[in-house]
Amino acid sequence: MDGIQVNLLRWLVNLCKLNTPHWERQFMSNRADGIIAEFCVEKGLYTVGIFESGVTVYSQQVRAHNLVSALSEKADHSQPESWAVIGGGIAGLTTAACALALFPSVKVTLFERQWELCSMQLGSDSRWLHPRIYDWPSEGSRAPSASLPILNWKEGRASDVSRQIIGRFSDLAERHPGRLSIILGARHLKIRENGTQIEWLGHPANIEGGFLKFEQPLGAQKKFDKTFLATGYGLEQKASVSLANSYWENDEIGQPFFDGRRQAYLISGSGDGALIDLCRLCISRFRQDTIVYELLGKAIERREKALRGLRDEIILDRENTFSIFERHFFEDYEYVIDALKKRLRNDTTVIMHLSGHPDRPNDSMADTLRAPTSFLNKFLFFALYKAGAFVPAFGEIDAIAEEFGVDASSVLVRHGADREKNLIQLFGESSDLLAKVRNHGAGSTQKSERCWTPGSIPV
Amino acid sequence: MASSKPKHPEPVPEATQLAVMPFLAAVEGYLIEGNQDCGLRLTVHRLMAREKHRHIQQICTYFGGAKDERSAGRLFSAQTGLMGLALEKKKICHTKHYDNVNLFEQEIRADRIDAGEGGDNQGRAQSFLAIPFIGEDSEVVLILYAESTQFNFFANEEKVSTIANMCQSFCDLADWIVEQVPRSSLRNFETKKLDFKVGHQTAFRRINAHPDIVAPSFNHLRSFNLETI
Repeated sequence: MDGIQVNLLRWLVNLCKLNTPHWERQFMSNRADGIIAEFCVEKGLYTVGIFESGVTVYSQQVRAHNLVSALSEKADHSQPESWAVIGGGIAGLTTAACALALFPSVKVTLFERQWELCSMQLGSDSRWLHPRIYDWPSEGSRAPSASLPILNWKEGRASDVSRQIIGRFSDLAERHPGRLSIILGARHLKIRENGTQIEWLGHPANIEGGFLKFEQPLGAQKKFDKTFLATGYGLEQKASVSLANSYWENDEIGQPFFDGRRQAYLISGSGDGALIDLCRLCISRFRQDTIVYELLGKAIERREKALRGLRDEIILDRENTFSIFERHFFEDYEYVIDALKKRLRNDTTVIMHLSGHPDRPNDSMADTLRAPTSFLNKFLFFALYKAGAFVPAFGEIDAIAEEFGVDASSVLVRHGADREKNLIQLFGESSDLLAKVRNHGAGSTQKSERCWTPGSIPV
Repeated sequence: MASSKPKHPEPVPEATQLAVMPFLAAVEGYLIEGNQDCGLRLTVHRLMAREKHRHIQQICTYFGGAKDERSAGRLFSAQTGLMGLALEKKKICHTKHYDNVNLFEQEIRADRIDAGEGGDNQGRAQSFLAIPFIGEDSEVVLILYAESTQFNFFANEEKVSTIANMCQSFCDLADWIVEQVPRSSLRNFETKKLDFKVGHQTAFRRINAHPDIVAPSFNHLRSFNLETI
C-alpha cells in the first residue's frame, strides 16, 4: 500500500471512530448481560456467592465487583434507586461498597443479623487469610495483596483482614455521606413479593472511623429497587459428638501443648476447612502460604510450573486424582514427603473421618481426593498420607471417636454451613421465591475471575 | 454505556512503587540539572496481567513536578502512544531532532490528528522518551516514560544513552535483590504472562526515532510485582 492509500485508510478509520467503536460497545454489552445473568434470580433480586463452592474472601469480593460493575455498565445512572444488601459479611460489604463507588445516585441499606460487620472473622486470630493461595500454583497466586479496587487487603490473621476491610468500608462510606444505612441485630428480616419488599426489625447504626454507633431499634418495611442476597453460607453445622470450637472461633490446635502430652484429634470432613486443620495438627509451624516456600525451596518457580501441569492433569481427570498423585509423587515429589516428615508434630495423633456426605459417601482415600478442594490442600493431604501423618477412617463418627478414645473437645467437625437455614428464615419455607432462589442456585456458576473492565471501578 | 478506556487506577503494591521511586528521583535529578523549567514528567509503567486482565499500569506518581499519588495505578492499553510503540518494537523510542520548531509543530499536529487526539499541541509536551526494560523471556517488563515541554529535549543520543545506562543499573540491582540475595520478607511475585495486543495506533509516527542504543534488560525477572510478606 502506498502512503496515499495508507492515509486514506487512516482517514476512513478516524471518520468511523467514535469514543468506542460500535462492535466494541456491543461486545461489552453482551459481556455485561452474561455476568448479570449469573447472579440474577429474577428482575431486581440477585445472589452473591451463596451457592458457590470453594468460597474464599477474595473470590466473594471478586464476585461482588463483577456483578456491580456489570450492572453499572448497563445502568441509566441518572435514576436514583434504593438497594438492599442482605448480609454484612465480606460479600455484603463489598457489594455495598461497590454500589456506593459505582452508582452515585443509589442509596444502599445493608442488613446484618449479627451485631457486627464481618462477625465471623472479627477477632478470629487462629485463621490465616491469604487472597489467592487456593489458586496455587497459578502464577501470581502467592502475592499477599488482593489488589482489588474496592476494599483491598493484604494477607493476615482473619482478625487483621476483617479490620482492614471494615476500615476501608468505613472510609468509603464516609466519602459518600447520607447514602448508606446499616441495620444490625436484624433478628427479624423477611423478603417478600418479587424479592424487593423487605420487612425488618433491627438497630440502625452509623459507621465512623471503622466503628459502629447504634441507634434505637426500629421495625419497618420498604420496597427496594434491587436486593442483593449476600448471606454467605451461614453458621457451621454442629454435631453432638463435638464440643470443639467452630471454624472461625479461636482455638489452640496450632500450638504445642505445655504439659508434654500427646493429644488425639478426630477431624471429620474432607473439604478445605477440614484439610487446613489436618495440616495445622500434623505440621509444625504450619501456615498455608509459607509452607509452599518451605517445601519447594529456591526452585519454587520452576517447581510451580511443573505443578501447574499436574494440577491441569487432575482437572481433566478428577476421578483418578489418587492414582495421578501416586504416579507423580513417586516420580517427582519424594522430596516433599521427606521435607514433611521432618516437620511432623510429635504431640498430636490425628484421625481423619472421611466418610463424606450421606448422599455422596466416601469409602477410600481415592474417593476423598475427588472432592472439589483446592489443589494446595489436596497436594498436602496426599503428601501427609504418604508420610504416615494421620489415620484415615471411614464409618460412623461416634464409633470412630470411641475407638480411638478421642474426647468431644478434640473432635473437629468441618461439614460446612447450613445455607438453607438462612434462606428459609428470609423467605419462609413454602415461599415461591425460595423455590426460585434454590432453582437459580442449582445451576449457579458465578465466576471468581475478574471480569470487570480494568480501570472502570473508582478506588 | 461505559467506555473501554480505563478511567480509574488499580492498586500497585507499595513495595513495587518504592522500588522504582528512588531510581526515578535519580533520573529526574540528572535530567533537570541546570534545566529546572524543562517541564519534565517522568514515570515507570509495568506490564500487568492478572487473571484475564492485561494492561500497562503506571507504577508510581510522575516525577518532575508536583507529585500526585492518585496517578499511581493508572491503566493504559498496550496500544497507547509511545509506550505502545516501545512495547511492540522492544526498542527505545524518542522524539527525533528537528532543526526548527515549525517543522516539529507541523509533524506533531499531523501525528495528533492521526492518533485521534486533535491537532493542537499548544502548551503540551514537545519531546518524548520511552525505554522498554526487557525481561528474562525477551518480553517487555517495564517502560520508562518521559516527556518535556522543551523542544528537542530528548533528541540527544548522549542523554538517552545515559538514561539507558541508568536503567540497566536498575535492572542489575533488581536482579540481585530478587535472585542473588533472596529476602524472606520481600519477594517478586511473578504474574502470568499473557500475549498483549500490540500496535501503535496512537503513537506519533512522524516524530519518533529509534536510536541505536540497546534497551536495558533483566536476567531474572519476567514481571515486576514486588511485595513484602
